[in-house]
Amino acid sequence: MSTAPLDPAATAEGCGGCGKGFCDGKGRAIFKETSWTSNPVAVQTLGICPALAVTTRLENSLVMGAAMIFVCVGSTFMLSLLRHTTPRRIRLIASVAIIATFVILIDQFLQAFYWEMSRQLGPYVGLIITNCVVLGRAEAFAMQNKPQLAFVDALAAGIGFTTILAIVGFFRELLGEGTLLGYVVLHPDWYTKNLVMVLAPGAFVVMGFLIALFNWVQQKDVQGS
Amino acid sequence: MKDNLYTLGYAIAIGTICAGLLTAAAEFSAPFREANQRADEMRNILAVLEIPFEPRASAEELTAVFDQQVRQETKGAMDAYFLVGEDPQAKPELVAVNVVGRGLWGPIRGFVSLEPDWDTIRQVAFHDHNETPGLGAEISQASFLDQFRGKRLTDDDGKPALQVVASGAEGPWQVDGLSGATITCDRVGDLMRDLARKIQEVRE
Repeated sequence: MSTAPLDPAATAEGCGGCGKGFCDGKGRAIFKETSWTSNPVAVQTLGICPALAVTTRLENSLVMGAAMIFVCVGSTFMLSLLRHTTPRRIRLIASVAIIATFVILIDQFLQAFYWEMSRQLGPYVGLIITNCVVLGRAEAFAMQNKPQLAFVDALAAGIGFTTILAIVGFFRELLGEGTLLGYVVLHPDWYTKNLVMVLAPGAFVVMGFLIALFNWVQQKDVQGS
Repeated sequence: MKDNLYTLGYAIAIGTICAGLLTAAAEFSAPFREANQRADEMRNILAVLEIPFEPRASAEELTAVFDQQVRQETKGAMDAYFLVGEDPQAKPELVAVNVVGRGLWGPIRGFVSLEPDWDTIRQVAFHDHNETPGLGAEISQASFLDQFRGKRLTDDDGKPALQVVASGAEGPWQVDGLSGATITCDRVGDLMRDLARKIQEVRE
């Protein structure tokens, strides 16, 4: 389930196989691994709580995803920069302090400039602090890798997370309210809103199908190659 | 020993930097957050007083409209907002009061506007609640709230009488509840009868 160690031979084709550049030629492989092969939500089943809670609308999913990308990229980059100077004994508490700082920054930003959205997301922005995706990437990757690589990895995790949330939000808003980003798509005259999709069970159902789909596609990938 | 000192120093440094950053951010965003909170309340008061305003208006614009057309007074346990309109001498034609009550998961807060008899309801709005999305949360939908228009808080003997009933609401003291949200609807009824009592206290 966890990220497999990167095989240097398999990653050489990244950045054109030159082995140099921004991410030492590993960028593309890291990105694919973290966002697709071991997608934080659909494969590692981390961060399920916000994925179920805030995905009643597509817009909420996207804003939550953006907040997640900001926190994940910012905090893992910082942690990677500090990885040699951080005393091992207080490693975890230092990580959480830095993650919490980024989370509160984005939360305050939303409260100041996107009030409505902040109210709709409720406590879930603050709960990014305890999100396993962020701490997982910090512990599993940023602590052992250069800041550039940690940046790519965190971006991949954030985008992977956002994509799943957006897919779940897309189906829940479309089937539950007949709208997309607030615009009416399925007209109430001929479409009966499906309440189940708005409520928690709808989220579980969509998420279940999504995880099944991921497993199926990735299994085919493995068999095909 | 040296190790311990380093760890301690590191912890202090990280703590100080993070705390400093957060303090700065909180200081910076505090006025915006307060303005948003106030604007949210004002939007609801203006809405129940049926004062037209731009839905996407900024906090400053709302304050301007609000200060011009609304006079605020404390009446007993309630905050009352009188619609004064263009002429400050004219008798207020509508009054809005804040309501607060227990919901299913947390408090329900809102505003109710009343005719000058302080009994007949013009409009109801709930701006802050934690009811179940899709079920209880529908209490802030217009389809539910519009039923309150013209209903009365007390019966002819002056007793709190407004009820939210399961179905088949009739007469000036009943509104239809929402299916799947019985407790929330009961609590809304409680809240309305509580408002009737508070108004009575002020009257006596």
